[in-house]
Amino acid sequence: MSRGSQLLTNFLAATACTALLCVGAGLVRAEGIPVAPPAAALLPSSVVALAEFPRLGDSVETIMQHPLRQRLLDTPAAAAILKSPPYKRFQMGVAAFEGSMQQPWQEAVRTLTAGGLTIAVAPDNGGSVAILIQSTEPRALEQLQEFILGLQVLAGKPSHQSSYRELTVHDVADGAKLVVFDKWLLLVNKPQFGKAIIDQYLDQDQAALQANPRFVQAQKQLQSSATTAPAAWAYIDVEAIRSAGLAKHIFRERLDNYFAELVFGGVLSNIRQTPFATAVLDVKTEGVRLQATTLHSRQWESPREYFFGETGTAVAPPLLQVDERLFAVSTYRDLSQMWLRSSDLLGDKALEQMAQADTQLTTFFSGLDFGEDILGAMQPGIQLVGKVQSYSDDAPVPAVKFPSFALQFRMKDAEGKRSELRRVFQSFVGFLNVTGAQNGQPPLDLGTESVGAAQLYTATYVPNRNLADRQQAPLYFNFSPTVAFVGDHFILSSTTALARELCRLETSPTEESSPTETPSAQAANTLATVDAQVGRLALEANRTQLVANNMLEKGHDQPAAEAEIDLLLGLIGYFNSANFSLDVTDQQLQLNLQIDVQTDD
Amino acid sequence: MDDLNASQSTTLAAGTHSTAMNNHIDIDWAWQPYQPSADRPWNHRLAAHVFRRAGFGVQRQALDDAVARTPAEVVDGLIAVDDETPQFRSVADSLMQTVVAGGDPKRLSAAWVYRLLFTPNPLIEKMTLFWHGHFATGAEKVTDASLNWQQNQLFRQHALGDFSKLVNAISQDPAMLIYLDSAVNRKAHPNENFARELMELFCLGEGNYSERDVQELARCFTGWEIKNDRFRKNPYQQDTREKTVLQQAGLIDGEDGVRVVLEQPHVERFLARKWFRYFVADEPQPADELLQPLADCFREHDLCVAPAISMLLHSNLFFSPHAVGRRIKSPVELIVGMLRSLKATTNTQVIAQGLLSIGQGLFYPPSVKGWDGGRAWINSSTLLGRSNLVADILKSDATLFNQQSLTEYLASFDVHNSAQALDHFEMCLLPTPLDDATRTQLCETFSVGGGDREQTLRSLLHAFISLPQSQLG
Repeated sequence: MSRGSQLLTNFLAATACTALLCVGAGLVRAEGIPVAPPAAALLPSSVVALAEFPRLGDSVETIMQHPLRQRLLDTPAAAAILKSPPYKRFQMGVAAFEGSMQQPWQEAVRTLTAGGLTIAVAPDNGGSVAILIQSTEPRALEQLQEFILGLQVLAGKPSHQSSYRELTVHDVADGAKLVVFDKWLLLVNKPQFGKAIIDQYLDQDQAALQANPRFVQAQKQLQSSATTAPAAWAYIDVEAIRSAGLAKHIFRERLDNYFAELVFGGVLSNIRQTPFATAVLDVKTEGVRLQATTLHSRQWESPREYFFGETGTAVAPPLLQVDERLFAVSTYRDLSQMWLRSSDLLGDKALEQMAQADTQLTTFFSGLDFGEDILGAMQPGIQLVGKVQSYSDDAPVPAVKFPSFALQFRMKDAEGKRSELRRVFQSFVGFLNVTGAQNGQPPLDLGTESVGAAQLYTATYVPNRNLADRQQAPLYFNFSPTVAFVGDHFILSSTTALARELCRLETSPTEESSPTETPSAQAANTLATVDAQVGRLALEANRTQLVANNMLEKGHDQPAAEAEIDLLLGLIGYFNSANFSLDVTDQQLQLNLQIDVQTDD
Repeated sequence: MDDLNASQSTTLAAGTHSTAMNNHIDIDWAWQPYQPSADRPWNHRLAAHVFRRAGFGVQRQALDDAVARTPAEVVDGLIAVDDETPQFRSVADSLMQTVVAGGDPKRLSAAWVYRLLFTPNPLIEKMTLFWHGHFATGAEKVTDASLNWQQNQLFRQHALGDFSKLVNAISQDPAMLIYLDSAVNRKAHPNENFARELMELFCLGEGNYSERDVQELARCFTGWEIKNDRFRKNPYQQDTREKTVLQQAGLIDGEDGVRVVLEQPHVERFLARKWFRYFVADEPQPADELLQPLADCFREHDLCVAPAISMLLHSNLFFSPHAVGRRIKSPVELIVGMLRSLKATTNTQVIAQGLLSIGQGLFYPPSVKGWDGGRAWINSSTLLGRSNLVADILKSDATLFNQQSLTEYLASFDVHNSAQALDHFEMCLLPTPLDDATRTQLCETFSVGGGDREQTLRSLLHAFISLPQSQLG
């Protein structure tokens, strides 16, 4: 590769990186989303996806000043990257860019994108993409154009230019066209798309995106939902994509995967009806928040009432709160209804698998119908929680340490179903003992215990007398399956310790140790949280295994493998938590994702 | 020029022998220690031969060091049993233990590949691999990773040690007894599997025992059981009546049975023949007279392995054209040899899986007979598989050469173009010189100039390792 083409590649890479970084870490100081972004007046109404970065300069500044940046730069891995040949080539590209722009690159980016950077996608001509940059200084745009064309010459590709309606159009890599007009720089991959944009700029008499009713409605939605000035926002014309026959697999009526339907079924049913979707990326020093919203109507919910429930009642139970919680998920799902209505929801392949499973499960549960008697015994609503395990001194410590996890349900008829569920559990343990014995596993020892008013039925692996190394025990020592009944709650836990903790919290909740967290202000259909600091603890407990894996996969010696794993653990330590919620109202369906990072210097 | 005697090589390579090898060889000369001479100089090519056979190859620097010493000093250095540094042993053992704790026997293969790549004592690993093929036990049947690892450690512990102790230990090894369905051996129904394989495959060879000996020896092992992954003797299931094994009668138990077998004179000849095939040449079959001095050495040293292997590796025969380039490399020798010779590191799980696909999965021998070796390594499928595995390894970003690119690694030896790279590969990896036509063709096809230099060098190495000549070791 010649020096010129390398510089071109580096510049384009730098531009792309900057754009991506801005998505991830921009900070916008000002006024929120404009009623009609300037680019929408130039883009044709056929645009199906648009992403706008209103103030790239501020975003770059935030990245450069973020405390996390310096901490990352201080890591050995970053030091190695900074010394690597690709990074040195990248630096050469940046230096050339600064020389051409006659100012530091951060200032150049601020000047060039003072009016925003827009990326638009249209299905025209087999897929058209346009990047529009609006600057307050036309001279800066010309300098950028000269820089790009100069790189082309260096790459040994003489610049070809043509004229369209008295504007000079330059050919750049892979048939893309570049043109500067007024305060705009336009880069398109398809000439026809570029012509449409220029025509619109000059004539202003064609159907522009800003006149598209769905876009107008989306802008209103964005303005009403954006709580802070966003780093980026996006619009997707779902109806147009659907009508064009694109992404058919997303719009299929029935999935062939039970668990995918369970998790995403309601969201996908909305996507099959909604006219458009919007997204807002809000980034602060403390973290990133992504909010995606679609229009919603209760009429679109049938036959997925198992997902949405009755209006106003389909609220996820609160997240369970335990010590050293790794993750928690809470969701409204009527599992019994989903199981019994599966023929309305799932494809033939999944239905066939379910029919087989139903037969086997009915046999397994001593003739009880799995959908009606087992799942039907529970109220809608599932609480799942996981935590890092601690191991007692007298018990074997497994070589690979899994988190413990528990599911909690509310029973419809606690008194009537308690005995039935206990027998099912005991049968299940008996089954495990038979299959485990065939594989040389020790038996599970059944037991009972009480925690306050709660009754626990436990099963514990009895360590073999010959267990050679109690600190490197087999994986099954991660499990001591337990069920617990406390009030109308039914708890199914992978370990007795976690079941005990949940029972204690349910039987004697205090202000300090509430079993649940206050749900979000807006009642959510689904809530989830992951604690990165606890995740780091969970990984640290398995450091030996991770190091061994690294040695085998990368052929590293032990010090190199340990350094790499420690770096990974360090990077995870820079995060605090990730929180997710799915909120459903009569008018809209909204996904919220928030990732918090450590900000201490 | 450090080439072998070209005419002699050509004659041997033609493979015209249809009779026993000793028709052409002076037996006294064969087992005399090799002394370099003007006709048979000690050089890089012979040094590479020693390291390939007594290990898996070494990089250029080690060849330079070896040539500066005498051949006897080099071989003695390889024989030194306790050469494996405590640090390496600790790292390799803890890696294996960690993998065992994970419970997946397939990952054991990768952990052993790691050991093969980095061991400072390749002869120990080479012999461990030999014993793994000799006392073959497969993880597809013995699914407990810890038992496979225990057996592997047993082979390593006795790699160059007392064969009697190794046979006694393997007779009570849980993995072996599970593999041969002898985990439960009752006096009412003696299980003949282990007794038969002990004589046929492990110690004596076919034709040196009778069916009656199998039945009687099986009675000796009654009551030997595996419970909770441990060996135990069940006195209530032991047949305590008199037995006659290989003409020795008495109240023989399992240990006695092993002793009786090991006292047979066929033991030393059987092992000498296998070592000849493993270290000297696949073909032709050596006559008993040629092997007898080696067999005698083994017996005279009370079946201690190291003296016999030392005699073999010091011998004129081992350094002669009867040995150099006279074996087809096993998949392990090909792949680990390439990586060790270029100080390369890569994803050992990919290697382990690849070795399985081309016929030498570690911990996965095809049967209790182990691997046939020799020409059985090569067919149209495995030859393509070898090339594909090398391609996969060289394509991987995880593959580095002394923790750098191949370009940088070769540059450290002042290698900057295709011709120089071929010289380097040839010295480290080939037993015989590359012919001019092949050299010219490779240089023209993989000219290092413009374009992606690293890719070109890796492609050249791939083409080089895929040559028919590179399959010989």
